[in-house]
Amino acid sequence: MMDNSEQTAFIELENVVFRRGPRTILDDFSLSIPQGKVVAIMGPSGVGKSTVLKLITGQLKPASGRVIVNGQRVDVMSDRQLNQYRKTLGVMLQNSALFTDLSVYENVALPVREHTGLTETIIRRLVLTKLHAVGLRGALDLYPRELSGGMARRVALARALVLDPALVLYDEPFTGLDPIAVATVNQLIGHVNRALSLTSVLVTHNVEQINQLADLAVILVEGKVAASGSPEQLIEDQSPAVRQFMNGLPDGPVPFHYPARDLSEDLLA
Amino acid sequence: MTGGGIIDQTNRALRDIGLCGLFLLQIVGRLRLSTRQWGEVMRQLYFIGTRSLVIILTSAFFVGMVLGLQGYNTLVQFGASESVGAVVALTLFRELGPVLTALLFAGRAGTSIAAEIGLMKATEQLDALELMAIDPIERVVLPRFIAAVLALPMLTALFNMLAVLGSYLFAVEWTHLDQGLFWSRMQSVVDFQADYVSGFIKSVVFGIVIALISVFQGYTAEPTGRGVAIATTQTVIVGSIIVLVLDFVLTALLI
Repeated sequence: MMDNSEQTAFIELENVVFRRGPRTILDDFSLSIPQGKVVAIMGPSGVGKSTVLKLITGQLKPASGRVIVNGQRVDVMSDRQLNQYRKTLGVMLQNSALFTDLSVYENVALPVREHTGLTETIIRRLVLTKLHAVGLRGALDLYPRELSGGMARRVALARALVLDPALVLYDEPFTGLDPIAVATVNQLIGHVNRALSLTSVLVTHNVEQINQLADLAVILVEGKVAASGSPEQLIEDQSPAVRQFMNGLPDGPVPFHYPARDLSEDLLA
Repeated sequence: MTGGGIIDQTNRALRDIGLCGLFLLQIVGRLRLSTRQWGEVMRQLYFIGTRSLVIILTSAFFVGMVLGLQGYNTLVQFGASESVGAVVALTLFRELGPVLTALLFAGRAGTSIAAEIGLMKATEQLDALELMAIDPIERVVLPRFIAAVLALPMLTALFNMLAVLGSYLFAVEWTHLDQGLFWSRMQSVVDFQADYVSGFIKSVVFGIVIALISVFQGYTAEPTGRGVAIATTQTVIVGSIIVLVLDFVLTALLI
């Protein structure tokens, strides 16, 4: 487990078991995420990274175990409690999930309009400040269809931050972006985390970006934590699963072949 | 189809009917009548209602002309051609107006609602709302549902008007039937309560049915391209069948 004995844990998953149908996605899974850090959850596709994120947001409930965020049990919250809790979260989803019928400005303003009684003047100032922080104040009248992938991701970041959350979750923030956009989003996530003293959790498989951005990283393999520590520690880690993932090797503990019958049996059948 | 297949299909249909009913309760439970909610309803009324006008009005006009033509050709053999207006109006107000408008509405507006909500689900927009502590049923489903329920009776009234106009143009302008006879026969035969109001009740029921099927199909669609395509198709198929079945039931009850 992560060595965070001197830091306050902001998120704790304790002995979580999560199943989807007959398949066990997370098996007796425990994870502790300290306050104020950028933490990356990494691992091969389909290993349960997004499931961890959905357990933290309360979209999924574990079969057993506890999910605690900022001292509150998320896994036992009622719908009303979940709504209150989610107002303190910022989430940036994989494909930005901007509302296609609303302009950039209205997208960012939506959570403020829904949850506060602020006047239009103050909402405007708030939205413009957030858009300025992500470099898109000039794009406020554009619609999501007019934005590039990187711009959409930045608007989604502005929207995630508009209510000043204590915790921001990023689901695959670099997927499908060009190198410039990847660098921009990377820089913004780090900058925002430091400037606003947030706790940030990223789900990603982009090893290169994590080395630059994350304070701590966790590698999941087969529903368990295979390794955790600073990116430097993970680069030095010699366990086969970590080596395979960090070096992008096609075969290893995560097999290249999907389980199948013996090749000769199949070909001669 | 095997016996097991039929049982499976029936089970699925019954489960969907149950889920649809529960979904209706969830929608109705969120009715607040707040200014913001009504603002969104009005916006959707424009998208759903106003944008269906072209197909509804064009169809209505030609349906009216055809009814006039068929009615005239039959009635003239009995020397009763002046009753064409009355026959057309009765056919329209009681049956064709509500039913045809509902079928066209399912094809035009129902599919667009199902596809839009299905796509919002596939692109994680509904998830994003939930994560911002905004209820997707209240924010996305309810305004579209209410707008569709309101739009259909209004579109049916417009359909009836345009169809009567179509039959009038055919009968009076084309066959030179006396326009006084055309209108007076219609006025004396059509009963507002028995004919027009019963048609109006049908259109309200059809509106609720199509609105519910559209939002339900979109909201429960599998979040993939194929899922959205199935939801859209199912909206038309299920919507049309239920409208036609309900038409018989309502006619039997209202007659």
